[in-house]
Amino acid sequence: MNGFSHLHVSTAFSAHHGVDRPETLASAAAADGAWALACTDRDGLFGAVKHVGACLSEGLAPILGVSLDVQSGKRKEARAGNSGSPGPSGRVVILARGTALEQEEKRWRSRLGAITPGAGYSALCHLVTAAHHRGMPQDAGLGALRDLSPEARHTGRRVPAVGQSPDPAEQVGIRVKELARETQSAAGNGPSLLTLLGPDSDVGRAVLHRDYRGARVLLRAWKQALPEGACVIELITHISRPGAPYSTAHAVRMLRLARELGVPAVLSNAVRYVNPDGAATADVLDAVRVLSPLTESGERVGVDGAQVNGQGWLKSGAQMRSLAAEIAREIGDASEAAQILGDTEAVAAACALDPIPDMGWGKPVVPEASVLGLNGDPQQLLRARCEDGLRRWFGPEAGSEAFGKAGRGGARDRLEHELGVIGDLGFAGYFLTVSTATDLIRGLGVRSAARGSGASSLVAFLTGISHVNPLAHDLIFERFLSRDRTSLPDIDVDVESAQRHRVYRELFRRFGQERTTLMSMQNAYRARGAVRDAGMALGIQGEEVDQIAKSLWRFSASSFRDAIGTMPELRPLASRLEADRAKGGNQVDLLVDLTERLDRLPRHISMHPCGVILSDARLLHRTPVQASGLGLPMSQFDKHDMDPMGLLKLDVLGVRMQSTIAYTLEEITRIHGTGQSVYEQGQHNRVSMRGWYEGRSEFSGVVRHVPDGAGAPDGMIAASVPEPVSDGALPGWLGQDGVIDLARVPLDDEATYEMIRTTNTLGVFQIESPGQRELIGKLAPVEFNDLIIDISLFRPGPMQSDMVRPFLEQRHGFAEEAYPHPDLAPILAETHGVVVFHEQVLRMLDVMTGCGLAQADVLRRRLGDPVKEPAVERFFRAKTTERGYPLAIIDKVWSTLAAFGSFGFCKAHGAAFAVPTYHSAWLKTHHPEAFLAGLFEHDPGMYPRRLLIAEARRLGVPLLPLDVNRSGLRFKVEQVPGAQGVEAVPGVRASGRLGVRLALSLMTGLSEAEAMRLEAHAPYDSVADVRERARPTRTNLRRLAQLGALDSFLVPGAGGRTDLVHHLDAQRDGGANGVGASRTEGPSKAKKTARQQVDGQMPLPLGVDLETSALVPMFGQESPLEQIRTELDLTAADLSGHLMQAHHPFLDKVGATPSDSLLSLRSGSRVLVAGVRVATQTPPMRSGERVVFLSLDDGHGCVDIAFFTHAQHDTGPLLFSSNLMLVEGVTRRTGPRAVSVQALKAWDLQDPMAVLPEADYLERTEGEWRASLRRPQDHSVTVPHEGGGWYRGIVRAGTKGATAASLAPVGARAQPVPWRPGDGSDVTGGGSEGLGSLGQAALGQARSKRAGGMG
Amino acid sequence: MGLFTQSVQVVLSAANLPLRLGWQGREWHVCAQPVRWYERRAWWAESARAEKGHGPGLVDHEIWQLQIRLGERDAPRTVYVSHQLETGRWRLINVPEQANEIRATA
Repeated sequence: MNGFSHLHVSTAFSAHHGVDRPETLASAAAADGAWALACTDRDGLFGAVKHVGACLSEGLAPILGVSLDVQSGKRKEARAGNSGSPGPSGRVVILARGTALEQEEKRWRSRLGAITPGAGYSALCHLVTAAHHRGMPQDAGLGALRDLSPEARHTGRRVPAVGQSPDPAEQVGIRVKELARETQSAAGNGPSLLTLLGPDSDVGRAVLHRDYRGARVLLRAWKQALPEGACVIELITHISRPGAPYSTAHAVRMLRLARELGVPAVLSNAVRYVNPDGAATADVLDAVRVLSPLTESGERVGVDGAQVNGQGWLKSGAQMRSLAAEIAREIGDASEAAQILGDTEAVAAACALDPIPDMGWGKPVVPEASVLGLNGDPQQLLRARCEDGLRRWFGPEAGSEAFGKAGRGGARDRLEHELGVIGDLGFAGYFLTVSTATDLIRGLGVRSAARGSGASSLVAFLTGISHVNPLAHDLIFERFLSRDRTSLPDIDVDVESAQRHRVYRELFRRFGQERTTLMSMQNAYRARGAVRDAGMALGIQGEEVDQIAKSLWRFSASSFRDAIGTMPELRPLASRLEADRAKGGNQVDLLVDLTERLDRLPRHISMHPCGVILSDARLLHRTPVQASGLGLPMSQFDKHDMDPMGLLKLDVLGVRMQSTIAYTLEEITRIHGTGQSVYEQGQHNRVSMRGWYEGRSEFSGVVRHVPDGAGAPDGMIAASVPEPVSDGALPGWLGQDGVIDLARVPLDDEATYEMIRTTNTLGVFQIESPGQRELIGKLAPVEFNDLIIDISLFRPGPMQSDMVRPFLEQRHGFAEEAYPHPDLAPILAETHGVVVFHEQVLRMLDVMTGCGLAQADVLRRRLGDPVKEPAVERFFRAKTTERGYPLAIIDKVWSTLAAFGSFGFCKAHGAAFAVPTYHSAWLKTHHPEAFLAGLFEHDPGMYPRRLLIAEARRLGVPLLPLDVNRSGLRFKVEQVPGAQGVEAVPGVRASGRLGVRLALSLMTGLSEAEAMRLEAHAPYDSVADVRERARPTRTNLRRLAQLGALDSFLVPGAGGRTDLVHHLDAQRDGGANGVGASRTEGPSKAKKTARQQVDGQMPLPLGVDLETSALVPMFGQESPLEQIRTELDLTAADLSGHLMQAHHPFLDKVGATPSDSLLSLRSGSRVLVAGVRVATQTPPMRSGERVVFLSLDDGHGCVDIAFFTHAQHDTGPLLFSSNLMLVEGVTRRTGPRAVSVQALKAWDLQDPMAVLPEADYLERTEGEWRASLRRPQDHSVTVPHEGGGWYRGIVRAGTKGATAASLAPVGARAQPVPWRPGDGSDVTGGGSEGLGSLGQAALGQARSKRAGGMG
Repeated sequence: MGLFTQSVQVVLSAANLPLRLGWQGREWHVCAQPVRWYERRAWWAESARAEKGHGPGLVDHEIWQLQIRLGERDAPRTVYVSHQLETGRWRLINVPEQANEIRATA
């Protein structure tokens, strides 16, 4: 035998300990000729499933175990031990017995006894769960919280209870008693676990200190505590200094003890990395784990697993045999080497797992039917539910749209087809389980929406799992499930974010704790975290590292060194590197090297944001669990482990937009009260705002004529012409009580599509980002399917592969729709010949090869995989040739499939996403005030709240100031006096009579308890009354005064807000100057209360605040700018005005263009724009070049700015650091309603040292700029055509941003350019590059146009 | 450790064990079974780079405890040499504080 069975190996999933991934270790072990390999991660089975998978693919027998601290019975001792050395009882490795090699090694089998399959792994899971359970409160004496499942009550095993939260101070560890209990298997059987006592165990430590008597006592205690044969001595030598831990001498002494007491001894190497190169990474991980720099690593050798030297790698069989020989030589008995190695292999044999019987590998498990409240055959039960659904949705009254292309008979055929596949796969229980869960969520009154490929299934639709009708949208079941795809499918359910935890708890309650657990996720190092920790290890000052960390944008730490040379924001670091080297220093070089080493290593596990595992009662036999931040138990397995372990995972994702929508609907009902009022105030009778747009040429393209008879594309609702309300007749979606049933709102509201086409979509789900606004402006959606297409196009794949442009050209009729073959026309018609959806790829493969949709999905998954794709191509070519397609067409279609197949988007995903997109757009169009309140309340999108507040101002929705008598915990819609209908912004018609009252929660520093008291006790009649009854802290009372929330108590003629603030300050300082004194708790309370009344100012309900009426006006009011500054300080938002106001005079002077005036400029105008940064994005680019997109808010709206490489270099670090910027750039019309700016350079408005442009800047630099435009554009890159006509080449814009092509005649002033897609002035959205190659002559004529100053 | 260091030349046996030591212009013979171990280095201070794939010898280096003498009849003396795996260089080092422990454990 060549190899050696390593029994003690930490993978990278031993956070801050292991260095290499299971696959790396397994392939090295296999290459060395090993037959078995263990994975014994620290404190858990984090890498276990990946290890087993890796072993199976390498042909190794997997062994699983764990390295755990052993804690003595007495807690205090155990804790005291944490600070210095490991706990007093040390750390051991525990291996699960396996049944892969039952017949082997008779000597050991007779010694150990047999075990039943699964007993070892199940015991290991329980043990790890118990080790983590120590961190739960019940161990801290809170026995009352103990909530045992029936199974736990039976076995006495601890099952973490719902509602318990972990105490991070508690250490993970196991008591010997618990270990003994789990080791004991069924009567007559051998131990299910083997415990390896190595150098870090209590025995090993006693031996190290030459306490041989103590060591003997300890080892005898182990032998006695554990069942016969479960105890093994583990010899390790890292050849450290003789006598030190992990030295050969240490191992020799352990061996002597083992022989003396008749305990078998095995050899391991406590592996942490696959080869010696990993040792430095391990050093850094040790430093990070104990949070002390490398310079102190000498002192922590051997402490808490810190390595003594760099010898802990996966040594080869030959090297391990020579270590055994070295130990044998030292002990003076050469035969010992063979004995040790033989026993090592015997333990490996006893622990080799057979994954299927031992772990339930690969076998899907769903909850027992009885738990679902069902009796009988799951398949029959599922059919019955589907039949119900079929009658409900597809009865005679259903519109023909509901059936899609398949026609009325199609629903039945489709159902039979799906049930057949589900039956063959035995997944009926799965669908019943998921529908039980979604029923539960609906029953809680929580908004939910299924998403993902599950929406492709009619069964999912009929059982209420999904809300998307797959027939109406022509979705393919095989994209979700087929006989060729046997893993449990994924179904994701979006719920209101604010209700997510409640949903989790209810799921635990419904299915039982023994069947339910949360899924975890591995958090890996990324660039910023890696540089911080590497810096800490090197002892570099915190702020210094912080600064570097903050400048890391969109590149992986593994390419850090390359990035330093190329990224402008890393320029300061690059010069430091130079300086450091010049001085002979190595700090910065090492920082870069260590950052690259840490990159992508797992750091810790945490609760997955949405995964809930549902299984049968044996779940906790198959996965260890530990406490999550939520207090609910969480599996140590992540999403990649679900399929191999046959675990059913339901993704219940909290979506803030769902909460926003729920809140908006509540506010609409609350404020209007009746259906009639909702209908009128929401202007639901309005079909189009055609009248408003008429005569405003810049809005051409927004209004379209609705063809007669256009129905609801979803087909769920009969086509509805918005009916006028007469005699109280309301549309079907609106109740008399004003409750809106969004699910029944038709998806064809023209006013909503108009609003979307104006691109005023801030706050709308999925289409609010700068890139999306650009795309939606160009796409100009007219129906629901357009939203699906828009969402599907706006992804890295399509954006990078230039799918967008041909699509738009063909959509708008600028290019001929081209189909390679008539067979494909029906498939590609909806996207004008461009392949957008996975569903289209499946159909193309099916139609041309006849492979069937199931096989087509298998083929699709192989596209884009360099190894598997060639076989797909061979198959495609052979089949299509056989079926008589001409070679030219085969070539053409294949090049399309190869280019797009792996990029496309599942239409079912797009359809599921488009529903909340439409709903939120509908709400913004008709009920902007309530929608804004919902946005403020739940903050769903990508933008900071202050931008949404600015949006409210822009829409003309009054923001009602903070007021203790009116503001509550939440943002509320309030009636205000005003005129009907404000059209500040096209598409969104504010009611004029409604405003949004700012909420107390806006104020930073105010606790929720204080806010609740303030709300509960309102109204107040005086400041003293607030103080007395709501009891805010003095600081917060002062803050409330500063923000004007106490203004209602001010008395005309007396002092103002500033005087009140000074008065409160004086009081706070305990000053006698104060009119009253604030109340405090404490022994002097009575005295203080007395003093408060010195002036005879009891808080009497007189209607006059005696405290404020006594204020003497001494201080002037704050200026509006000062007020805004105060608001920013205290609420992180500018409430009473826009924070750019301070800069308006300067911006006027230099001739900057307000964002809302950009549209009236010609494309290609040079401008100055300014604003507050609201978003920074660096989407992936086709060319690999990085483009940075900034959105600046200048108070008139947002301007989206693209920085290409040159502009990034000209701008330097402030590109990422400055929050208030002035940018010089060139406008680009990107759609009928969209304009963006391509930056040339930028200034930092906040930097007092910045040299800002002079008043005549634009005039003065005009000539220079024009000259630069005439220079040859050496940075253009041409990507040649591919796949004729399907795939357009890109000619990148000139570096100076001159992308204008369709220029107005020379001399024209500020005329809007009629926009045509593909005229060269557009770019693809978000992930865009400038398009279009331009005549140099035209560029020379480009004229700078800018609007007048602001205001 | 290793405070005063001098470069030495070491001749190895076929089994990679030190046989002879060139030091101070003379040749010393190793006269007893050498003891070898791996000691940490302050690599973060001593190495300019620590990139991935740097190879062995960054974190630790080999230390040999050797009994050497010039001639058959000379009294042996104990010396310590370090072997830098990165460079292959041998250096005589001073390890005073370890001597006792090592003898006691042998």
